[in-house]
Amino acid sequence: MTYRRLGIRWALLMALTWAPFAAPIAHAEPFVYCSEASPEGFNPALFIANTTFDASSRNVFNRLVEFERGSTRLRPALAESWTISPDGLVYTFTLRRNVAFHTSKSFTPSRPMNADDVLYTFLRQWDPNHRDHKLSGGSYEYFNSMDMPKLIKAIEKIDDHTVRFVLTQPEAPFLANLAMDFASIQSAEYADAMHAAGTPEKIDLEPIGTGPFQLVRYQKDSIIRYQAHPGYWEGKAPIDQLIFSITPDGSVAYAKLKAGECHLIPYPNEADLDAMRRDPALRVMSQEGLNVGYLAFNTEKKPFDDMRVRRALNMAIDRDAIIEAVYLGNARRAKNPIPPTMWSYNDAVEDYPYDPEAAKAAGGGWLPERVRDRFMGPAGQAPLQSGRPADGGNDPGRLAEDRGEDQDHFLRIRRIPEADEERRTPDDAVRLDRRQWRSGQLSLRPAELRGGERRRQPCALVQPGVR
Amino acid sequence: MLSFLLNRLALLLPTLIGITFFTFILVHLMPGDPIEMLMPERGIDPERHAQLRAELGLDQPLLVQYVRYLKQLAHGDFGRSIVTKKPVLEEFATVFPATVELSVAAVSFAILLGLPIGVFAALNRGGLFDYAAMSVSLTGYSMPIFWWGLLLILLFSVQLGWTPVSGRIGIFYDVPPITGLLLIDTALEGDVAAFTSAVHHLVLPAVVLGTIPLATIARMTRSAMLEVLNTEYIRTARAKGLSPVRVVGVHALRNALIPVVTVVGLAVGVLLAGAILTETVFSWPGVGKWLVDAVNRRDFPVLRGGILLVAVTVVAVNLLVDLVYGLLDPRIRKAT
Repeated sequence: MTYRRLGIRWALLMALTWAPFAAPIAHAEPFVYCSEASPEGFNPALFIANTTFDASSRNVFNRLVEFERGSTRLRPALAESWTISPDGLVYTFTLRRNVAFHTSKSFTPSRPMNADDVLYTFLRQWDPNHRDHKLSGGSYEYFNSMDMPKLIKAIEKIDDHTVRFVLTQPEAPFLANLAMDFASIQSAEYADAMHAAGTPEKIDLEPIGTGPFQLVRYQKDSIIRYQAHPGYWEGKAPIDQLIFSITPDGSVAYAKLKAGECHLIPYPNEADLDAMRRDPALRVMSQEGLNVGYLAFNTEKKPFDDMRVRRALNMAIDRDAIIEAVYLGNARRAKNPIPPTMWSYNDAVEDYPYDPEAAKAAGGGWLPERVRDRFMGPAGQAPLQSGRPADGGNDPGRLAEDRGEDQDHFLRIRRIPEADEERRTPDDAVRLDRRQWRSGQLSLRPAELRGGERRRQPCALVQPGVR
Repeated sequence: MLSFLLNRLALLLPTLIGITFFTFILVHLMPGDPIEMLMPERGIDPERHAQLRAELGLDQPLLVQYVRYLKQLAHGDFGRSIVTKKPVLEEFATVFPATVELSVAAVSFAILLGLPIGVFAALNRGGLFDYAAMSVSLTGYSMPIFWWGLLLILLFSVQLGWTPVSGRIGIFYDVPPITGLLLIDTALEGDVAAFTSAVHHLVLPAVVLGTIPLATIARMTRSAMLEVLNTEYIRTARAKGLSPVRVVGVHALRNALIPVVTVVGLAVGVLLAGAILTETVFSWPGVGKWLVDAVNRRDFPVLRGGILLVAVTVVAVNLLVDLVYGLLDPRIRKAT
C-alpha cells in the first residue's frame, strides 16, 4: 500500500478571506495564493518539495490517473480507463482523446496529447540512455524512491491512444504511484521543438502541460503568474489569472490576508488560528493532515526489547498535554501509524490511556524517575513539535535537542540526520527515536522494510493538522 | 592616488582567498547532508545515496574539494545549485538587484535623516532635541529587525492601509526585468502607476533596514561634529565673521564626515546581514532570502558562492569607501 502526499496544503489548515465568495470574482481579478516558499523548479519529476508540486504538477500538469480531491481514491485523468492483467504484471491504459497542451510564445502544439507524450515522460526518467535523461541535472529521486527503475520492465506504445506498462513483479500500489507528482505527463513534441531550437533546458523552465493553468512568468522568490488554459480538457478554470505570491513568514501571510493582498494562505501559524476564527472576514478551513508524529522504540535494545517497558512508556506520555502545548489543540491523538483518512486505517485498535500509575505498574518497576520526568514533565517540553513546513518546524528532534543530555547518558537525546540513518549499524545505541512522517508515502510491504525500520514499532502517536 | 589604489587592490587578493577558505569550511561544517534534502520521504537506497555524493563530489576529502572549488573559481565558475541545477552566478544576478535597490534605499534614508539629526543634536548639545534624538537612536540601534518590521506592517499596512504588506511591486504590474532594479525598470517603461507601486513597496522595508544605520550615523555624526566644533580652526572661522551656516555646513561638516563615511562603509556589511531578516519579513526576493533558502536546503554551492559574492560586494564597497576617504582627507593618500 502506498499513499501519496495528498494535496496537503489544500488539505491541511488554511485560511481565506470571504471577499471572493461574497461577490463572484470578476474575471479580470486575479486570485492570489500566498504560497509558503519558492518552488525548486517547474518539472515535478526533478524535485521532491510539496511547494514545487503546488506550483507545477497540481496546476500545470495532469497525470494518467489522479487522486480525488481530499481523498486517496483514484480517478481517471489523462487515462480514460485501464486494465490490469490477472497476474498483476501488465497495466494497459487507454488515453483520453483531444487533450490539448498549453500554447506558449516558444511553442504551439500541433497535436493533442497521445502515447508519445506518456512514453517521453516515463522513458526520460527510466532509461539512462534516453536523450533527455541527463537534462537539467537528471536526478529523478521520486521515481527512484518508488523503485520504478527496478519495477518497470517495459513501457510500450500499442497505438496512439494505448500505452502498456509491464512490471517485473506484481505491485499493488503501482496505480497510486502513477497518480503522484513525478508522473506528470510532459509533451514530447515540446521537448523535440526545444531541442530543435537549441534550448532543451526550456522544457523544464517553461513548462508545457495539459493542466488547468499555464505558467506565464516566474519572478524568482517573489511571484508566479499563471493564466487559465482555455482548452483545458475538464473545462476552463473559473479563475482567469492565478498568482502565487511567495510569502515565507506565516505572520506576514496573515497580515497580507487581512490587508486583502492575498485570498488564501496555507499553513497559518497555530498561534494565529483563534484570532482567525474570530474574524468574520476570514474563513479557516481545516482537514486532517496526512501525517503522524511518533516515538519509535529500538526493540532489539534494552530496555525496549521488553514489551512491558514499551507499554509503560505508552501510558506515561500525556499526549493531550502535548497536543495542547505544542500543536495548540490542532492535532489529535493517533493510535495507528497512519491517519484515518487512509482506507487501511484500523479503528478497532485500542488506544493506550494516559495513566502514570498504571505505567509504573506495567513497567515492572522499570520506569525510573528520570525517564518518567522526561515524558511526564511540562508538556511544552515534550519531545514533539510541529510548525510551518517552510520554517523547518517539523525538524525532528529540534525540541528534544534543546533539552540537552541526561547526566548519566542513560537517556541521551540527540538529533540524527536522516541520511545517517542509512549508515546506522545494528550496534548503534539508538533506543528511542522521535520521528514523524508527513504527507508522504508509507510503505507497509514487509519485503521493503529495511533493518532499521523493522526494529521500530510506532507508539505515542500524535496526529497534527486536526481539530 | 594611483599607488594608493594599487596598494588597496593588492590587499584584496589575500582577503578574497581567505574568504573562499572560510566560506568553504563554514558551509561544510554545517550539520546536515545536502542529499538528505533531495530525498523524498521514503528515502533512497544507500547505493543511490553514494552515487549522488560522488556526482556532487562530496565523497572526496575536504581539501580536495576545496582545491577543486578554487580551480572552478579561477575559471569564473561558481558552481551550480544542487536544488535548482542553475548556475550560482545566474541565480545571484537575478536576486542581487533587489537587495541593491533595498540597501541603497535604506542607506539613503539613513544618511538623509541621520546626518541632519546628528548635526542638530551636536549644535544643541545637552538640549531637549539632543537628548530625544540620542535616546531614540539608541532604541533604534537595539531594535530587533524582525519584530520592528512586523510592528510597522501591523500599523502602516494592516491598520492604516498606507503601504502594502510585502513584495516588491503590486501583483497587477508585470514589469519585464531590464536592470532588475524595479524603480529604474518601471521608469524606463514609463509606467507611472507601476513606479508608484514600486516606491510604495520599498518604503517600509527601507525604513526597517535603514533603522540601525540611521541610529549609527546620527550618533556618529553628533560625536564627530562635537569634536570638530571644538577645534581651533572653527573658532578662527567664527572669529572671521563667517555665517554660522557656512561654518557648520562647509568647514565643520566636511571634516566631521570622515568618520561618518567609514561608518557608512561598515554599515554595508550590517545592511546585508539585516537584509536577510528584512527580506524574510517583507518577502523581498533578494540575496538574503535566497541564502536562507539555501541554508534550509543545504545547497552547498549556492551558500559557498553566494556568501563569497556577498563578501566580495562588502570588500568592494569598503574599497570604495577607502577611496572616498582618500578624497576627503588628503593626508591619507599621502601617507600611503
